[in-house]
Amino acid sequence: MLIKVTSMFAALIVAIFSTAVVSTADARPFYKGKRVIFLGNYPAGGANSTEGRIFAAHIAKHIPGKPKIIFRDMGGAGGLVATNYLAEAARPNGMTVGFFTWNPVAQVLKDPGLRVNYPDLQFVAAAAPPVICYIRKDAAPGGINSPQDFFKKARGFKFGGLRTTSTHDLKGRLSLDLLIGPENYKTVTGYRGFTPIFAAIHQNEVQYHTTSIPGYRRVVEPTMEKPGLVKVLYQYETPTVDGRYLRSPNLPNLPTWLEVYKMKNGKDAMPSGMRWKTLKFLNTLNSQLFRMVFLPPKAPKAALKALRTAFSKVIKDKAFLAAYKKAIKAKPAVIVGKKGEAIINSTLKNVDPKMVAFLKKYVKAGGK
Amino acid sequence: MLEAVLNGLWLVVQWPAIGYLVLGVLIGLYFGAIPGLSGLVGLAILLPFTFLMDPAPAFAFLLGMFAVTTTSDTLASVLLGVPGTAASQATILDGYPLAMKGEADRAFGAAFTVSALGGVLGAVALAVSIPVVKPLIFSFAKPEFFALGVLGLTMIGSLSGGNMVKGLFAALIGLLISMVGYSLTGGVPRYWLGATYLLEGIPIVPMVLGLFAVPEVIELAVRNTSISRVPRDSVSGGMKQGIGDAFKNWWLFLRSSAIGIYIGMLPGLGGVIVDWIAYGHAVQSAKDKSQFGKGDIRGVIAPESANNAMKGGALMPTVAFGIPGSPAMAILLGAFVIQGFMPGMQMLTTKLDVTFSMVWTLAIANVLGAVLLLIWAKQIAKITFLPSHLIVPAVVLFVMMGAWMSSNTLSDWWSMLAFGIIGYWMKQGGVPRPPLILGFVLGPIMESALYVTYQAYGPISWIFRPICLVILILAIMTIAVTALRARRQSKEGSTVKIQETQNEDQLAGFVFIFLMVAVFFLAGWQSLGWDRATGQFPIVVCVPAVLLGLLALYRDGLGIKNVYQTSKNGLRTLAARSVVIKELPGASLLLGSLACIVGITVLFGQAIAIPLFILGYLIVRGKTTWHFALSYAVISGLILYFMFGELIGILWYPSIFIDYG
Repeated sequence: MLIKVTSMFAALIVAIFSTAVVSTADARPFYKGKRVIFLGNYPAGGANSTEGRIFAAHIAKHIPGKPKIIFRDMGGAGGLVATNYLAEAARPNGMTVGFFTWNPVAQVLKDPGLRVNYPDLQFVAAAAPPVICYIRKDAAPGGINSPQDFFKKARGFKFGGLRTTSTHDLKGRLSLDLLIGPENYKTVTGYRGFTPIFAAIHQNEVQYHTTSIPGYRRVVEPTMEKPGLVKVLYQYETPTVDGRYLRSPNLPNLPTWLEVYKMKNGKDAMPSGMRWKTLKFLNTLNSQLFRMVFLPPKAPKAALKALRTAFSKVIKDKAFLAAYKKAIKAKPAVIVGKKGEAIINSTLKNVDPKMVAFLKKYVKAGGK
Repeated sequence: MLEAVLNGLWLVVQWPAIGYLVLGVLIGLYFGAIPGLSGLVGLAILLPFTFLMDPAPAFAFLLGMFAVTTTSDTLASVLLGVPGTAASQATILDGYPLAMKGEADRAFGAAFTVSALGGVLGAVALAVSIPVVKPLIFSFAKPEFFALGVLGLTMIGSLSGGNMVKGLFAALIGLLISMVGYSLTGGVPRYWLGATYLLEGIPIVPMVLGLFAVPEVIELAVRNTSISRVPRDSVSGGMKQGIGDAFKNWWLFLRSSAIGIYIGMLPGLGGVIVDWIAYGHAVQSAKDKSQFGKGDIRGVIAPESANNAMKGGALMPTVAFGIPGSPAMAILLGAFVIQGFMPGMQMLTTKLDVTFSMVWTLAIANVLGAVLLLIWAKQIAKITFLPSHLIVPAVVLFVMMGAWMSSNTLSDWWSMLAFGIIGYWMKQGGVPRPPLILGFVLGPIMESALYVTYQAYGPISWIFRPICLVILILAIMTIAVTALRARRQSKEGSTVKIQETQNEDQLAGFVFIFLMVAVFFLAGWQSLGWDRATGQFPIVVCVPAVLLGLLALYRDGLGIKNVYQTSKNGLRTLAARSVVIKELPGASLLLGSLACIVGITVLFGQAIAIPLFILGYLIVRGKTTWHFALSYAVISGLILYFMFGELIGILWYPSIFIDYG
């Protein structure tokens, strides 16, 4: 009796829950009748979740078979919990897709929390928003109203940072070191996110900061730039394979950091040394690849192909573009498939040991 | 200005905005009532639905939902001793004892009344402070945050009752736990035991559910009583009395609401500490403190006024400066932008009517939510008189799923169970739990503030910033007054004690403190190997913790020694008096069953594991009929599927045998 009732009960529950268990291996599209989970690696409400949910809402109609897409957030350890989950725990059946803000520095510095190498995950696509740098205008006597004012006059200001190992802090410090010298500014790190730094800029606790375009459009532009509190100085450039350094199409009138460097040092001048090499490395990784779409290491090739195709199509979808622009305040810059894979492999598979040693030392110096 | 106020009202009351507001309120009541859910989860889920709406209905929907989660969260706090959301943790201290006295509906009457009025006050504060909001918000920089943290810690005096030493010790445990994970200063992970889950720190929801809910579940299961320890017909008063209590304590309500509004305004503080500070203030300012912790209605009024008022305050920096004080406000900021509004001058000038529509939404939603709950509360309160074997399965379901929603991993459950054991041990051993939570929530705020302050302002000069100085003087005065009162009460023999258990288990308390002293010693020792910035805060915490722990051990040791020497069979007498030893078989059985849920989940997923537990519990422990147990289990399965799977859309565990997709 006990066994019979228990079996009936189990069967009932299994029947309710397992609608997606059985799959048929016929010629139907791979994702036909399936439910796909897009897994975010930061908590709900953040930029990763917002951007991921926009993709999730529009991608289904471009995947052959039109599966049901659901977005889930799994925050923790600066995005590493979900990254490990995708590589180690999620079934590699193509039904779990990572939508991650990645952390390549964690791999370079051999962070104990990251248990997977990014090149081992299957790259689908990536989107990257440009990053701008701004400073309070009253950070120097007479005011800062141009990049020239900045590199000529700004001394003794404070740069607001998150933690010494974050890409945000590292790029900020490296670019300032190269442009005005480490002795002319101070890093104040330890803020718990960008919001407290925005407040600290208002309070004049720190004066210099960098943020991506959603932060710029949502907070910096309306509450700081337009009222005349801050001057936006430059954007980090996008290095290309053929050796060019590009402005983002979203910010065509804002000079790049390298352009400002040349304003100061002459039009043919180029930075050099390990600091520049490291900054270029971080820019290559971050200015083209930021929000990453990955499949687990052994996911079926059919899933990879279907998703890559879908991402190539969605970025031409007018409804998606309108929704993206409304929420993120920028056009999406998306890289799909082999192009992104090549950047990951060329940068992360053979990192110069000298640069790793430098980076470790540099991180340590930032904590003092 | 008046035109903007009226236009704002018109935006909210016209169709379809008013319909969305009502719908938002209903959804918000649900999200607040279920432990583990919150306004944040609700906003994240509802936000995509607003993409295609006009601004007024979109804000009415989102804010209507968000406004009332801190009203309905009282249900779980009072009925089950489980915080419905992080903002109602302090409510359980007196709310649950009121339920145990059969006065749950009185607690509801008071809580819903002050929640409604507090929410309206918060909205009014938002309206009137719009022109002068900047200095109010930006006068608090990192040094002031640190000073406020110090002032917050002085509340421990109010939360530890008669045992300041154990209260401080518990707060230091909270501070130590808050240091688990990456340090704020560098990439150095601290006390993470090799578990990636711990790298970003222990999530608060599984911890709080473990500390407060699991011990109550164990007690209900082991002692097999209803939540109310008195029969229904012996209780008088009820909801009307509670509403009367709210008006009788109007001055406390006003002060607590003001605390809520101001804390809400300061980015980075918010919901997690506002209830504690309001509760601490209620205890500190009360002349008769003897009933706090035993079911004093003022212990419900203060946190519930503050946590609803806070929301109006939290909207100020979001609207005026685009600086969201919490993740929930960050989502709202996203909604502004999606609707084409920019925070800042636009919201205070050309779009002032939209800002006022938010004020009206907050006010209307708070009143509507409270009225709906007041209508239902009398029926809901009857749960407290049901036999425990009917309550335990439902509580287990919601507690387990509440913890699960933190990061959707089994680690959430292990974390909850570990803290369940710690919470049960602390409760029986007479080590107060509330200071631990206060230390935990204040820890990261204080460490970050201190570190940034040190870099930005230098080691000393920040102390002399005017607001800092005032707060620090207030903190010193609070400590002095608490010490003097304690001394006076000790002389008079009228020590106030926030009572967590009827019979304190001296032996369990002694062993717990002994083990924790060892943990502090090891943690301090380990931190010596870290760089100064990473190891500084652990040392500041561990050294006094070891000293305080030794002092507590000395005091408790004297008591134990006394029992040992005065009774014939010293050890046996101690063991016989130990509640933990007495309840060990029952408690182990329940904890073992919860661990079984984890095991079965690995094999078949939650949808099988939890209903199976419920079926087994009702038949074996509750001795109910098969039909009843099966129906209960099937309904639980359906709740899991529809409420958690479909409505909230949780990520199910990828079990070995069943793929839930």
